[in-house]
Amino acid sequence: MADTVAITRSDRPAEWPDGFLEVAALRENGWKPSPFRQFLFKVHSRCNLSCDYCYVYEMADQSWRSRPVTMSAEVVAQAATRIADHVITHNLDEVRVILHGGEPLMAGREFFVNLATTVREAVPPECTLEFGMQTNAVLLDESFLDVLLTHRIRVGVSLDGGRDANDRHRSYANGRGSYDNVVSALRRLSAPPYDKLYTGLLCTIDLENDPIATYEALLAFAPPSMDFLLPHGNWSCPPPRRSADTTVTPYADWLIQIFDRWYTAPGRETGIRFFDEIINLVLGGRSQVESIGLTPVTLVVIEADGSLEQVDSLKAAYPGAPATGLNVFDNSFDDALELPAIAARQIGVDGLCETCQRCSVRDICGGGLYPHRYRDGTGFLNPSVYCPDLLRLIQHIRDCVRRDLADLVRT
Amino acid sequence: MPDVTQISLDEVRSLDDSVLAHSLRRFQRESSDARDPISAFGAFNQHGSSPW
Repeated sequence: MADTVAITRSDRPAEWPDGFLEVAALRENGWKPSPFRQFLFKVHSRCNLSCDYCYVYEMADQSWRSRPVTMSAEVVAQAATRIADHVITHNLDEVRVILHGGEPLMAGREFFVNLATTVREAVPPECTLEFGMQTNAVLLDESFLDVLLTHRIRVGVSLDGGRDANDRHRSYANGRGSYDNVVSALRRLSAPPYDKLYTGLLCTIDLENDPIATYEALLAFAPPSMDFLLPHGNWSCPPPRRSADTTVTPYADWLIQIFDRWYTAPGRETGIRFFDEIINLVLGGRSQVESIGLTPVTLVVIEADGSLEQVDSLKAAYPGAPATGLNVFDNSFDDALELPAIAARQIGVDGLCETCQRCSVRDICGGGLYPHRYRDGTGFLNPSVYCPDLLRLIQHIRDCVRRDLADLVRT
Repeated sequence: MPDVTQISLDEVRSLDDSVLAHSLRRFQRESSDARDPISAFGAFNQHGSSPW
């Protein structure tokens, strides 16, 4: 493994929002930060797969190398105390704890028992507390599922389609594909009594795969919902086949095929989060996911060593991109709310570049996923590198919904 | 864009199980739960790499 030199935030020239966005000035103008409601625990910093597109291990930020392998009981306890303090301070009636990695199941059954018990004991009973986890599922046997069922920890699974589609990227270090193991786990998870834990599937888009075949391969596992994730990239490190030609929209073209198949099905086969969110935004509603819309992001990441970070997918941008310099031992979550990097994702339209502010689909798109806006030199004050694809996809969905609404109103 | 308020709640409830019907029901629920726009989260969290 090659040695790397960590470039810290302080070594870099100031890029938006750091050094440009002043939280004190925002407050003087009447803005108030939104408290965190979603706490993402990076419970294990290693993975038993070696997916070649992984933002944790294969992209700019390599901070995982210096993290503890597993989050300690001390970090869990301190994070639980900080969450409880935040709930009380802001009188929150619901918070969510998301377990992530690396591969979270590698932390082991006892870790999950301890974490769920510790956080439940800390958070005031008046506050609804929900647990969820995102896993590659290869360790998801019945004994683990029993633990998750007992502690009401819901499960999302990563799967990229059928065998060939999945195993092209999602393989073990020795090159063997993960598909068979994931399928076995999904059969257990989707059957009683564990099916009540099953929340859905995440699929990272590979344009080499047929979109309809991919959708139908996922649908075979009867997920309550699924989502298709754009591969991480930005203006300085563009995603595959995302060229500078704005008339080319390979990702929109791929997604639209699935949208049309899903939207025109005789009944609702499953939820597709990205499409559901766009439709809701077209209708005038709010988004519930960070990748689309202008809803303030109220998510904070707790790394295995107790560091507080912004959204973990920023690891795709540059070394140290998600860092805040804060940790659960020395800082409250309110301290993180004072950071420009956190505020930038809570101020809606004011956090967008001029191009986005002038755009006709501004309030639906919301600039796309924050890490996809990065450009070396200007930071995050740019449109998404997927701007042409987002525009085409949103226009297509908007046109479909408008047409059907018009028909509905006429009848 | 058509004014969605022209569609009554009963009309939406009577729609078949289409994507549009589901979306309209969700929009109506969200609109009726306007006490706190951030707390009105439904089935998902915000994290793009987690689906629940």
